[in-house]
Amino acid sequence: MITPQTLAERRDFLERCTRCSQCKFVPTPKSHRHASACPSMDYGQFHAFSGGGQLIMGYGLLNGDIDCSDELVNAVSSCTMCGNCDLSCKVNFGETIEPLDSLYAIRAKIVEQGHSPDAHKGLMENLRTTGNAEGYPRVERELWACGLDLPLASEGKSDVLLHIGSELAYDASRRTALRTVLQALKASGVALSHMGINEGPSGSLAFDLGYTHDATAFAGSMLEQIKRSGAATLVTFSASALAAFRAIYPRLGYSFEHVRVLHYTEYLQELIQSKRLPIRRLKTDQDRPVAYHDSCKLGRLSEPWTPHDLQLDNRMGGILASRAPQALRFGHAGCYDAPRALLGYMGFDVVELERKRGASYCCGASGGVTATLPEAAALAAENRLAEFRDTQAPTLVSACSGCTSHLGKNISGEGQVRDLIDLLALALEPVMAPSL
Amino acid sequence: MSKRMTLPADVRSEFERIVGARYISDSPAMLTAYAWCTGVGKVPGDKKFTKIWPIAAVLPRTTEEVSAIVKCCLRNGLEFKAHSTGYGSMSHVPTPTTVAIDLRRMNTLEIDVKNRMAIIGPYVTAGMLQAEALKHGMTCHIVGAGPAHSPLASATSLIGVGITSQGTSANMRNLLSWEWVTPQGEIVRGGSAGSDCGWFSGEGPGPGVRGMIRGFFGAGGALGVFTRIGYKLYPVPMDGPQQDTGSLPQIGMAVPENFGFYQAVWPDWERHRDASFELIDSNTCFAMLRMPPDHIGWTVTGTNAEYVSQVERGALPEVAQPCNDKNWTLMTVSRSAAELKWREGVLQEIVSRTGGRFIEISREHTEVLFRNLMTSQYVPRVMRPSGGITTSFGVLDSFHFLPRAMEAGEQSLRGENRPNGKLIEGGREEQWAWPHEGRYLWSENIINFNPADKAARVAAARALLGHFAVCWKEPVGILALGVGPIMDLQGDKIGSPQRYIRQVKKHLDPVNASQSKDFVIVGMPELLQTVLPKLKPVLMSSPVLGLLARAIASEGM
Repeated sequence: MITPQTLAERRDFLERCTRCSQCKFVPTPKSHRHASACPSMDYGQFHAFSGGGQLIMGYGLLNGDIDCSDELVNAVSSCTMCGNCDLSCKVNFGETIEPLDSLYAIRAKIVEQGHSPDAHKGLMENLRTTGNAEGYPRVERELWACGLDLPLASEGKSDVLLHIGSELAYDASRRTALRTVLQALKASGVALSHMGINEGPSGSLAFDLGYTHDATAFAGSMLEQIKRSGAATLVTFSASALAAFRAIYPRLGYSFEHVRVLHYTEYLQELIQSKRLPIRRLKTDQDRPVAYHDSCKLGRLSEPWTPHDLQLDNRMGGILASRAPQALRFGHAGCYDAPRALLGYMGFDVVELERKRGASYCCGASGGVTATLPEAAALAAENRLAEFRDTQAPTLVSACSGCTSHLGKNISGEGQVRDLIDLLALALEPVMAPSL
Repeated sequence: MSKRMTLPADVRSEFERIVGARYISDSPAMLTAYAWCTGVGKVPGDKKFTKIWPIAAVLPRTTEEVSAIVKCCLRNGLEFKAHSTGYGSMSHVPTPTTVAIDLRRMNTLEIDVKNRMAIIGPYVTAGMLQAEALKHGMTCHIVGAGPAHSPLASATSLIGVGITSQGTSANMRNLLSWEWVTPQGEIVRGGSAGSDCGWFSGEGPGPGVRGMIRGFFGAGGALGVFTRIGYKLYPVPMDGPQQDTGSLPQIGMAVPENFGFYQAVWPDWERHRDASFELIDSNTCFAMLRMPPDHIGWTVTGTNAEYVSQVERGALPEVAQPCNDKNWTLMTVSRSAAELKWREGVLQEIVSRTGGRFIEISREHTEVLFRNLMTSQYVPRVMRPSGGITTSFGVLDSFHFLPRAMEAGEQSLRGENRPNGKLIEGGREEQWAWPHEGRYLWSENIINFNPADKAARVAAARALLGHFAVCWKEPVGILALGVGPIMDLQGDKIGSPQRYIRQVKKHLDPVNASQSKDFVIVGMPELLQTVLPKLKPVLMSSPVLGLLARAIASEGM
């Protein structure tokens, strides 16, 4: 059985941090204003809040040099677990440090020692009792499906099993858009099914918070449902679930085996490319570009993690060489192109933010930060929105409902944040859509 | 056991009033970052944390806050040490009653296009500055530590050499004007900034203040805190941020129009030296860098595993093959296609006439190498093999010394970087070399070792110390990295800067509140000053070097 590495097992990786600070910055900054890679550092300012700072604290904790103090927990909890430091580090350090796995291990250690913040405990209690972090009633989880006449997975085999994710499932403001997209899918002849109120947590948040045992249980339960459905393809509308399915489940020893796992943007792109799903160019008041925000979960964190030998060999007098270099993740295989392609089909010119694709700056929505340190999460959103405003584009689009919701809550003044699904609903709707 | 002191509550309250409660911490968790022993630049010991931790860390926002912090330290009998990006071990505090002044929040940046300079705070990184400067057709000097370092820290306080020094000079000469909180807490502006004339000029008539506060080597943080500087920029024919190519970790940079990038090799060091003089005399290149081929190999491969595999399969590209060690990487900068052609012609003629040849490099490798040179990413990259790196205290002198410098590099390594040695396997020597402003040679032997392995640390320390022994026995030019205590050992040579620096320090900071490990020994008795250089033959003898190396490998530097 594969299990995530513990902090003790990460000791050698922690030791190798050279405190170069590269983890705080994107690999190729294009400006002074948007050079940062780390929302946590931008909030906390002390080095301890950075990826490298956490590694150093992790080593101190492991070695007994420091205690698991409130200050330590506060710094660790301000991290959105976005993984940007991991890629920035790898520019120069390749396989030798890999910060992200250590960040997971530090959080797990904090939980193990009973120091998890109260806010995290609350989120976990909600996940365990209601299946979602916000604690919404389980019976409301399938309100989105009303009137769609979609079968439950338990009622029979389908081509595609839908995973909606709690963010979208409980978001009344996007329910119409979700239904429109699903109606279009149905109309294209795809046999869909869903998990209804039994759709549980993916385990993504639990793993981020350091609750490895819960994450393992949630993943096991989810995978059992998926496999039992008999569907050959799982399509998720949740970016964080996609990241869990592709990169966390394998760490927990789970495999989807023959089930294909796709984000809905990837699936729609496939259908459109194969001419099975028509999409309309949206008529707009004028040619208006949209800026695109790469979600961490949908982007670099959804790059597949494959089980591999994690050890490094000592070669040529001390060169630390990965035993499985093909399994190293450099952020290339995230879901970056499908959302951009869909925007292109709809006739939008996509304007790139300075920090994009693998080096995208986290908006602050993930890692439980909105619950523990809302001011840190808000600052991250403000920073990302400032970058958006510098593009002069009137609209910022994201394909992650978590990001869209968080950025939308924090925007003020000029500009708007739109979820890609809202735009797709306009372009896939059978009647002429109103202008954007 | 680490030495940690507790900050008295009343002193903490004072600091809180200055910077706000959020920006002071004496929590051990927060202080770990200021006591981490990295294995960068120096040889660490058995422990990852230094023995001495700061008593607190404070994060000021303004120069006035820095001044108030310094005065608060003096009032309460505490010392202080400024700290910017904190790469390596340079920021460690020497006493447990030292306050780490982390300048992270002071990162203002302004480009003065007309005067070709930047006005920057301590936490502006070289990467940020270069991105902004390129928008105006200029670049900046970036020292070996790479884009994440602080140009202000380098320009005011620590050496400042770098691989593009042929075109971007070095930071002892790039510092124009400065805002300085003296060890007494007074705010002083120097250079033209001190006369409210702008920030464009370093010195007016009269004695050289720049020489006093930093000289060649810099005080390493032992003469107060610098909070803002005027920093020289250099015009290049580019009109925007770098254009990325490739993908992580092999990010490259498109070679801009009218730039030239070449790799030339010679059959021996004598002909390499002959070519060097001509290349420098012709003023053809914006940058000239000699790197050992193994370090080039680490750069053109994405992972250590890939490098090892290529070595084992004999698949390294020609540019990284050990036989091509007598090399120059050459970068030219032109303003027109005709000028580019002319420069290329000059290079071809010199290389050909001196018996050299050019090596073909693939486009991908060219772009990766070009980016590493232009942005000085090379040093962070060559940390990759093991995370441990130190450097011999290099050679700063005429290019006449070049063959001898290479020989000295090989001697000091004592074969430990050859197969079955204790250092990372490499070439005969590991010298990096480049010219400064077309004048003199800089070279330093980069020693890569596994910091987790004590035998490797001993070998690294031995090589480091051995370089002094080699250079003092048969001089290889001026000892370039003359960090304080080393200069005391060297004795009254090259003007005895240590004596001068001690006088400056005593005058400006009589209580030695502005602390640094990288500085002259402040309270050096006159007798010891005289005796110490005489002990060199004993201290540099092989048995003593061995003992010292073992002590360093246990206790760290």
